[in-house]
Amino acid sequence: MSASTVLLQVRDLRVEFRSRGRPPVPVIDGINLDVLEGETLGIVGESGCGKTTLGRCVTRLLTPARGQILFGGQDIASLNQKQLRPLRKEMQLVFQNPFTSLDPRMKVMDLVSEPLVTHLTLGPVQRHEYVARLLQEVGLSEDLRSRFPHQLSGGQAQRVALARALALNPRLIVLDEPTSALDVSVQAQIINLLLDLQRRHRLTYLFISHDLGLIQHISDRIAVMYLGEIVEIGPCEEVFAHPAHPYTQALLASTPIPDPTGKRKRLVLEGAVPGISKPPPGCRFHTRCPYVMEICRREAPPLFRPTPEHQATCHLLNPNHL
Amino acid sequence: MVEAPLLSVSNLHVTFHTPSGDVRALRGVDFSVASGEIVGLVGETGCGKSITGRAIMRLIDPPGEITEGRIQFDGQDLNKLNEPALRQLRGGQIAMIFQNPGAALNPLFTIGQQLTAVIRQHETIRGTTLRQRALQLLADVGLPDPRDIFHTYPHQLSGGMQQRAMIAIALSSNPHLLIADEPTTALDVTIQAQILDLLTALRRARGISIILITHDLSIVAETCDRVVVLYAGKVAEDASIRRLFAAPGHPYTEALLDALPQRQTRKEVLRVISGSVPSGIAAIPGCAFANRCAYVMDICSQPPPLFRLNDEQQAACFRHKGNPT
Repeated sequence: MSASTVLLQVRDLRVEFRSRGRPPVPVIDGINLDVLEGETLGIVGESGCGKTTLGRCVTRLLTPARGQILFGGQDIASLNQKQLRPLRKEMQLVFQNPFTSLDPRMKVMDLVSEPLVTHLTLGPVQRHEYVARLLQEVGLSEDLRSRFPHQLSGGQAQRVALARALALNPRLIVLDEPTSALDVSVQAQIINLLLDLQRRHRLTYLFISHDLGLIQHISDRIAVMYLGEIVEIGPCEEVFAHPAHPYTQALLASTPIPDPTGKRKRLVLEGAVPGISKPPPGCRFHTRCPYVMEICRREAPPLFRPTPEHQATCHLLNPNHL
Repeated sequence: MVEAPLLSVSNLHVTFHTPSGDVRALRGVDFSVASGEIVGLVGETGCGKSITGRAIMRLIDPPGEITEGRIQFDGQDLNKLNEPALRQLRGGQIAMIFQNPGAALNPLFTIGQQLTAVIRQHETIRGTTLRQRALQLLADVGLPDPRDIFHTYPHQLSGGMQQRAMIAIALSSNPHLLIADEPTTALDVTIQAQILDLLTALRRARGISIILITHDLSIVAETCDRVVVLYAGKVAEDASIRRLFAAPGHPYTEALLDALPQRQTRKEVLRVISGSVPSGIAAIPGCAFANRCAYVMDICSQPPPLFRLNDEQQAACFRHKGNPT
């Protein structure tokens, strides 16, 4: 990675979901995050941890209740739709299921040229050429131009979604489980394509996934989320080799590995994730933590830094801890 | 294997009669499961792994049809059983659990009602004995506070607990064989680890055989003794997990393993399998994988039998020609 400019800075971010007659539920709370230009930051965590909400909030599909989102230096947390419009070009999202994210009544060429129509003023010939280039870029044959999404395979449809995302030369792409609906051989094609596109266009990825094997393969740094908070963040190799937070350790231990000779260490968590509407006091992980201490039930752990690049929120990391 | 296997499936064909033609979902599947063995059934979408599980239970409904093949279970030929006998067998000696426990459980009845209803199908116990039996089963699958769980409705339980409840129901008749169709696909990894541990513990405690249907080779590596790889409705490879992961015998297995990011260096290009699975409608005269295979030869235009590579491994690939079984 060349000079590490920060592309996206998130400070003290809180997103609340509101429903009538009930107190707002903070789905993510107190998130701080830097995403460097040209890197892939992997976000992992289990269902309901807030990883998707985070991705939708930093691209301002959601408005945060509190906090800053600095994109290229500009705070976009409280911009309105009109002010956001020019910025939409710069950040794009790709979702898990292309068959629900692509309009079933639009043909491939219309799907891919839709962002061009919305944001640029191109003549029909130029647009045609542009679409051809985009299709080529994502490895789709020209013949698919006039197909509808249901006439595509899952891998092809996800390539169309990627072509749409690339259409306006974005700087940041949020990839929300982009291969979870695909078979492993097709997943491999999409992952290869993503890595290739990143190299060619110096793209920055926020890669959201529950699949640790995949995250490990594609990310430069990873952030681990639990119940709406980031519990650990650091360089990919380091977090995998020396996970600092017990939750990360448990996630790694629970992830099956495709090698029958290398049996995983047993650290199977008891119970399930508590509900987000009433998170446990103190450390949110204390109800499932095998190393829980008295202080964990009372005080939320601050951020500790095992190394300058590597941070985790756990009382065990307190240098004053015995 | 000296003793006869608990289950043996031979030349199983399942066809779906659709308006656009007959879809041949299974085109001659052969495999067996020994007593107390955990066998993984793996493959990608549409390879026939779930259909195989359902066919063993004789749960193929029209327009689907078992057109050919033998399913021998514990000495009986399942194709010869009539509907009442099948009802006794299903959920009796052979039980099944599915991917989405929330959809498999009835939302209108408590876990206790559903569990006791199934026990009463297969046994004539009533009253406190029945209730005790149900509570014991709930405890056996690691559900905390069985007495409370007994009175809860499915929606009050988490996905992992629902799957445990499903397993309790499946175990209620002391089955010899449990068919688990993607039992952890809907669950988070920490919960998945709990359920997989439970399945292996049940095998140890009860000597039950398990067919684990999954698309995830990592789960197979951790849980199974043996694995059957299906491709386009046929067995591509049948091997002990040790052999399969060390030296895959079929080019498809090899390609699947190479496509796994965990087995590659970080950010390296992953191996992809070019082309796509042949349609189930068209006849496939030779090896179904030939059009995507890196090692394709002239002989691959003929159907490959399963070749025996060693005591623990068979693969349907002409590269192992020499000793057909």
